[in-house]
Amino acid sequence: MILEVQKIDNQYVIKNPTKNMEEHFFLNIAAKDILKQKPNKKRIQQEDKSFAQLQTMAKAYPKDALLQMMVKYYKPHSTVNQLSDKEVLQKHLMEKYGK
Amino acid sequence: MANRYIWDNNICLDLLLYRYQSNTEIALLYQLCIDKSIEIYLSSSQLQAIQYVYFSKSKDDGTTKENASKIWDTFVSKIVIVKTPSYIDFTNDLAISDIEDYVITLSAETIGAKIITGDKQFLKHSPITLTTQQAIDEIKKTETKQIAFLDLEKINFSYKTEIEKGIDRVVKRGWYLLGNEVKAFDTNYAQYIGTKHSIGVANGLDALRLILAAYIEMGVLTPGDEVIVPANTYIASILAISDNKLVPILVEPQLETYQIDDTKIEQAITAKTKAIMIVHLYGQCAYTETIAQLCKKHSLKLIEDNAQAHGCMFDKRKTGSLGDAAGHSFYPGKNLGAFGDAGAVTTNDGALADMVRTLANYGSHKKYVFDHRGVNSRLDEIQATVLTAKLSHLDNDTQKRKDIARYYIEHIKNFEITLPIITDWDAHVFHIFPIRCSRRDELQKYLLEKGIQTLIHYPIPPHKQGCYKEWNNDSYPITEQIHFQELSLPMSQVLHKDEMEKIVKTINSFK
Repeated sequence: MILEVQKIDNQYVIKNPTKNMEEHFFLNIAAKDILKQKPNKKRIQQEDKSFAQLQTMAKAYPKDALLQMMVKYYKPHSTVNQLSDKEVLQKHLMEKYGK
Repeated sequence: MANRYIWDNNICLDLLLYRYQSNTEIALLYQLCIDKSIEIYLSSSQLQAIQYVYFSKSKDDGTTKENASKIWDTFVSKIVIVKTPSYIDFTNDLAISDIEDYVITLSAETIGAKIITGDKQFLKHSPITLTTQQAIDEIKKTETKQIAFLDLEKINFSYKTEIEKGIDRVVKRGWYLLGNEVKAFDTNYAQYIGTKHSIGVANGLDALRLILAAYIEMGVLTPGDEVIVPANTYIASILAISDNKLVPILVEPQLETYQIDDTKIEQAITAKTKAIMIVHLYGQCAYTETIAQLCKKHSLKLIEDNAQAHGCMFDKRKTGSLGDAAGHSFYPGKNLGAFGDAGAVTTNDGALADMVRTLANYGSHKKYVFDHRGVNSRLDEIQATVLTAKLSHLDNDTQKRKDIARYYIEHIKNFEITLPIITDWDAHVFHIFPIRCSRRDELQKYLLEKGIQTLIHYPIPPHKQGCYKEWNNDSYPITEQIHFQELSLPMSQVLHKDEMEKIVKTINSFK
């Protein structure tokens, strides 16, 4: 069973308690103790079609500095829960010029 | 018009963040741009938005700021930024609905570009927008149909930013004649040619005319004196002589090189001969040691017409520095061309330089004091700034011309065509790439039907022109043969490989 945990006031609270859980559990664990699976960069890149595509293109154009840079510093681009370009820009303009 | 595209913000970000999943055509578009040497243009108005969104989103993806900066800097060094015009029509529909898109549209219009975008509203409201796929289709369909003899817009477009900066400087300074830009060009050009002096004048004809007029004013030449000049030159060389009431003596060229035949010069020298004007025709050096010795032997002034040969070399010295003085033309079509008429005189003779400068400025060396009957022939500040911007690229452009010439020479294989014989590649800057063909007019027509524009340099020799009726019955058989047979192929630093291939293939198929 996977429990969704949220950090509230330095405490980790289970967000989706089961019916048997009448109250939220309060877990006294430090953030550093939460097991994190370190992402395997190589594996992720191998499965990433975009990266494969970019890599092929960079190999075909070895003199193109931009492609070489893009491959070298590639990070998979997430489309989940991301703000749109316009939203990002809007946020920036709000920060820069106020309300 | 060449394929020019401004990439809208979303397309730039698709590439930078490599959002292949949301724009699967981005890779193909980028590859096509590399393959076809198509630049990525951006309106200066777009930069802030793209930069912010890129850094923000790359941070979300886990890219460090340092690495994102490296990618961004490489991207910025690759793109061409187009100015945002100040002339905005606020009643324009697009200006009302989306000022940002309208400004990008205006920038695109200044360079005759289309805009590649994924923005549906932009696609709907601007007739010059297209999707990535549409751009790909358009680029793929573009074939080499018409090949212009010389595409000046394309040539000058390469120096757009530097020229723009220079013109802004002149406009801001509000000083349009005899100012800092002309001074800077005079200094730079003298240094480039290798002479002590360069004096900017209004055009190439004036440059030659002023040299001769200055020599007359200085008592070196007298009206009625003879000046030897090649018979197959452009009319300006001869006009400069006769305009000064000097007598042009025509000497035949060599058929192989098109340059004055130095073995025929001495027989044309008389007691009245005071100068030889050599013309580095088509961009090839006409100077020889024989000519230098003849000048020394007979105490003749050696004047170079360097209108077509900027950057041409003779034994590590540049043409324009080989004789006593040289006239240069910067007519727009020249290897170093202005945005209108312009010219220069180069010399190591300080007294001659002073006299040319004075004569070109109404005969005045001090304001409102006129010691000589001069003319108004001055290089203006705008032309000087254009020339300065282009001068720094001249050697690189010349190398491209030489590469094209080499390609023509190695690949044109048609027994009816006579190609130039090049023994010294430093001694030719290929202002013109001349070929000869006994069926020249048929060949020219054939090439034109296949979409290839050529020119003839020149269709009528000077001695057959109406302005020199006294020579019309004279015979210069080599000159006449050249004028009957010469054809100039497209030649410029922006000629694309596809175009060169088409030209060669078409010439080789001429029967």
